[in-house]
Amino acid sequence: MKMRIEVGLLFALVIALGSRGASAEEVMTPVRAWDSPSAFGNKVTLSISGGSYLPQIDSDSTLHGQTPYANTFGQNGASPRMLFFQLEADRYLFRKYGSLGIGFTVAYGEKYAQAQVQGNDPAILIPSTNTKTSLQVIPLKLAAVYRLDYAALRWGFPIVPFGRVGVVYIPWMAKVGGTTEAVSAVGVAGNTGTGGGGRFGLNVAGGVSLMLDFLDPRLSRDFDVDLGVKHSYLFWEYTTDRVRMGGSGLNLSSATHLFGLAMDF
Amino acid sequence: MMRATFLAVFLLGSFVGGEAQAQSASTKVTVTFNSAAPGGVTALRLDQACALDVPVIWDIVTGTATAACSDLSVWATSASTCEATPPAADAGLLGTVDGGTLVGTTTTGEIPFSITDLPGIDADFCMAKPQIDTKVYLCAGFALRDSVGTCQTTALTVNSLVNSIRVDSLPPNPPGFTAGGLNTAVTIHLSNTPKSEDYSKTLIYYQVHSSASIATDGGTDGGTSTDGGTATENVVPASVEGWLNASSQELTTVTISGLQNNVLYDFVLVAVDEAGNSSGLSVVHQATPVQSFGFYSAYRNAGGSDKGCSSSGSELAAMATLMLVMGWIFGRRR
Repeated sequence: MKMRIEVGLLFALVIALGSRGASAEEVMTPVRAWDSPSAFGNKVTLSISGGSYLPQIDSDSTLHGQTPYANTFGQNGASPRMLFFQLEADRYLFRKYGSLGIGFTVAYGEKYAQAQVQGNDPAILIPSTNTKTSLQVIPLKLAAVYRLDYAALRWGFPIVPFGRVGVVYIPWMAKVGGTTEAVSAVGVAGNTGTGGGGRFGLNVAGGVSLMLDFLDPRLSRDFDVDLGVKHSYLFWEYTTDRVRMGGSGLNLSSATHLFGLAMDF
Repeated sequence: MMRATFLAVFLLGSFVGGEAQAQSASTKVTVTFNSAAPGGVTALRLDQACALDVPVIWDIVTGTATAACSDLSVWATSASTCEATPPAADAGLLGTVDGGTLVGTTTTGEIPFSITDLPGIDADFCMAKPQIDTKVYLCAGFALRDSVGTCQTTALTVNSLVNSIRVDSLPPNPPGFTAGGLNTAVTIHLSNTPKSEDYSKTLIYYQVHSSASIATDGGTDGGTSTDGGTATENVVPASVEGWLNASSQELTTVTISGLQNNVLYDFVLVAVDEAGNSSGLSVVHQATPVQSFGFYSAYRNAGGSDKGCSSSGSELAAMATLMLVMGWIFGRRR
């Protein structure tokens, strides 16, 4: 009888120790963001990025080597590059060895410079002291997006290459004194027009994202549970637009480096 | 002397925050003037102050009016606080209300008083028409019974300095400004804000340069030449009037558009204070709108082929279709 009691106590002790050991193992196991049940559940990526944008207007063959864009916006050694910001939303539709989806991008760029007025000699234009001219562009892009995020989501490897191919439509506005510039009788007879329009073209982009989850996996997991942000990234992107479709016109083609922040939801 | 009347509203209760109370936690008196919100200032020109014909109304809205055991007094003071007792009739007392009528919880009445009853305003003020700019605060109060029913006669329950009357016959100085030509427009930049404490707005008058003076009739002639000017004279754009408010330090620059390039224009400005006093005319400044050439002019002049608005209907339709597809994809249930 006593022997049975001792065996029973020993068995209970083993069970208890085993149970404690299992609990300790749970506590000590590092929490990894990609262990989250929702790690592969991200369906949408939102991103914001910025950079500088230089439209290739002056490379238009119809200008015969003249550089109206650089002359206007590069006065006195100023950089003719625009400040450029971009918002993007990607929706993933297929997932195998990466994520394939479709993305929509809205961007905005602007550049201001002093307008010109006629000097004492009407044939000579001089910078205006109080009137500015501007060029604003609002590229809208629709593209197929692919993210090679299998390694990141499976093993926590923090580098995620991505690429995008699609179409771009770029509304543009040229203003002087805050209003759309209209040209009625400048230079060659018949050179009339209105400073506003849109160009249609292709967009190709590629880049690399750095998944930030490895910096603090627990915080990243909390971010997911509390706010639904499954992963966050810093990224670099090289994007190029070709808007020469449909014949001649304002050449808003460009090649731009962008840096930004992205989040998976 | 025309008897001016003023609206004085007495509020007994606790619905107006920030006002002083005395002697009874549930009883206080506040005064507003001419329906101004508590803390407001009613600025009056001299002619307004001397010719007002507004019924004087006092109003006990809530509270224990029956606790009053003295007449209700209303007075004005230039001091920083209301006095514990009302002044004499010729030192700011505007009127009294028989305490026996202060019954019930809602009681109203009227007290007429003259501008010359205000402290600092002489009896011949409206005849002499001096240039002054003075502000007085309104006070009101009455004695209350204490908890055992004894009338406290040593002090009144008075209101705080929640409202004031500003009698202002002092016009502001004319504004200083500069004028610069833009493309079919001129920009006006105000360089000083005379008498900035109550500077209200600036009126802008302009005409095509002429030897004739600018008639400052506020554009009421519709831009006709009936007073010797040209068709564009005296036009005061509605969006410009009141464009500068010194109290909030709003815009000091405004652009008048719709002008002709290469035409010389004359501009004069008039400052108006909160009481409505207008300054004299400013110095006349001239400016010429000039044709400005921007990027698009340079582009077209260099032979650029884009005439603008070049998006074809098919391009726009294609983009719209793609947008709809995107909306459908993002709108799908996960």
